[in-house]
Amino acid sequence: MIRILFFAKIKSDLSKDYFDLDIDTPVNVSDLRNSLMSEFSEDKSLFQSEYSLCAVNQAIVNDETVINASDEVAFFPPVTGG
Amino acid sequence: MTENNSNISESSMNKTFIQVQTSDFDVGAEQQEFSDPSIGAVVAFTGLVREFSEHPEVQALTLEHYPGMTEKSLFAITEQARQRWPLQQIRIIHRIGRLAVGEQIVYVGVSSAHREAAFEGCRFIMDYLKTDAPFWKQEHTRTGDVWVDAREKDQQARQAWQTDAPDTQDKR
Repeated sequence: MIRILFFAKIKSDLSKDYFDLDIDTPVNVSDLRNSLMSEFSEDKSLFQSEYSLCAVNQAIVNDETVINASDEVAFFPPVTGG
Repeated sequence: MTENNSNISESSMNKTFIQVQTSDFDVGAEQQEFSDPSIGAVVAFTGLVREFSEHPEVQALTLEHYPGMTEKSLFAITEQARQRWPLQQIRIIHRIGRLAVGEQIVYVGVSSAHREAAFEGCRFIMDYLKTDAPFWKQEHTRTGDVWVDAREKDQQARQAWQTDAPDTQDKR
């Protein structure tokens, strides 16, 4: 199981701060995206690579990055601060 | 709303100060913090909430962030800037929460012995903050709340630094 934190539009569209995804680890970000897209099929576009960024242990990573059970994982839209 | 302060000191002269806060900040007071006699130049950028051209009916926005990662990513950006230029003190303040048009939203102050490094370092930090620091703006309109889309122009500004070879940076 991996706890996935959500921010901004992903959080508000799903009305969830986080989701505990039942998936075996290690797993890469690309597979995690696919799992989230089937879990939230009505909002699957939120988890497409063009729309969302994934951070592992508070650093933005690419889709090939491998996630382990103890990692802190978050999905969020491209950032708009400043 | 989370308030998160971090004072990350390397030495008193080359100090990095990063603060994420709901409250406003005083640019004059920030300027006073650059007091080391070896400082020859301070370049400071202040970002304001401007009127919204895409949604003129917007009167306010709310800034959300990712506590922990925000401070970590801002610090990583300042370290990248320090690798490129001989910077002294760096001070970053970013506000979160609800902000009205005209309010101050972000401050980046950079000091160095000479102006070139301070100008370039300040701009580099702002360009990277725009694409790498986990902040999100939501606009409040009479018909509902709208998340602001990321801008391609901001990505291009960041990428321009990556294609800029270090040995040509002085000629920019």
